[in-house]
Amino acid sequence: MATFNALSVFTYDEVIDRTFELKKKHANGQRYWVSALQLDTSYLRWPAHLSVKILEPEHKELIRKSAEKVLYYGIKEFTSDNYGFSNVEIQKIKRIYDYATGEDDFQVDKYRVDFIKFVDELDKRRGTDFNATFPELKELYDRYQKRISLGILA
Amino acid sequence: MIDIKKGFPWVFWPSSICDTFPENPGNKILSGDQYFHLEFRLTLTDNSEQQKTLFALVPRFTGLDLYKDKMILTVTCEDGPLYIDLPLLVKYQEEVIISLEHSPKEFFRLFINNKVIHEVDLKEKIFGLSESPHILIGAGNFPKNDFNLNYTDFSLHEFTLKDSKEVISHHKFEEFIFDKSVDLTGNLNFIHKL
Repeated sequence: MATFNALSVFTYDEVIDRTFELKKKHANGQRYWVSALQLDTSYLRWPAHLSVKILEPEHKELIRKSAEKVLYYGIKEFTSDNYGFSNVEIQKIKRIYDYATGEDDFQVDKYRVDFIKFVDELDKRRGTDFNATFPELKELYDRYQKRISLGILA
Repeated sequence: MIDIKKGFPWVFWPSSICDTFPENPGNKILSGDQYFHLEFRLTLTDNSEQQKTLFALVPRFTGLDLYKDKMILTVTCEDGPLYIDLPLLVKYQEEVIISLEHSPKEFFRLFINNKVIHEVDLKEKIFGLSESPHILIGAGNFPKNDFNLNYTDFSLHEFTLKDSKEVISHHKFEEFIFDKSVDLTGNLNFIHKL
């Protein structure tokens, strides 16, 4: 089971590939249950600053790409002679895209600021380097870091 | 190209793989109230004289059946099916392009090699409506139903489905994953083996 959050987006297609490899490797007609392994993808709602809703539209498109990949590996029937992804596994990734892009009262700016504070603290306490680890978010980081330093929304 | 074999039909039913994705599966435009243009490029490889269903749009059956010396186009409208006798224009070992064009409240047309063979006037008729339409390829029914199957053999070279604006599904049957032919448009409108 994976709890899909804002930082999952950039590598989830690798999780899909690896899950697929394991499904393929361990597929046989001998086990009671059809599938050796199932990818159960839930989405994080709290803390809100780690939600996929803080992401930019181009990052959210990566979730859609993951859903497309898992549908590509999708099986037409959930039977023991098929080892790809089932309808449920596909739907659970697609719904994260729907959740990420859905309109609601989520306060994007507020939670982006909280996100920057969170990763700064993490770097400070654990000696990590957020921007080196997630270069895809550097532009967003810099933009909101600037807002924090200017006292906007901080 | 795929070889459709007796007893092993394929189906165009992308929404059956995942209920919610893609959001606009290609089969939805076959629901009876939308424009579509459907095209099969195939070569019949079955020389038998028995009834042969090349394809069938179901559950409101619209399909093309071959007989010894004629073919019957069945078009199901809301007020019932029409059975249209036509000369046999799909022949053994001859490549042919079969197209169906539906324009709501206007017409339903069958083309063979880009020539109109029959037109149903839909100004006062409604093409059969369905919420989850799909196309059986190489059979008239699902094998599990065990009736009206009319299996046949043919080589299917190409399948194209267009809506009123663009091609939404295109298959040349060169890439497969889990008995699914990969849609060349990238729209994930797979065709899969039953």
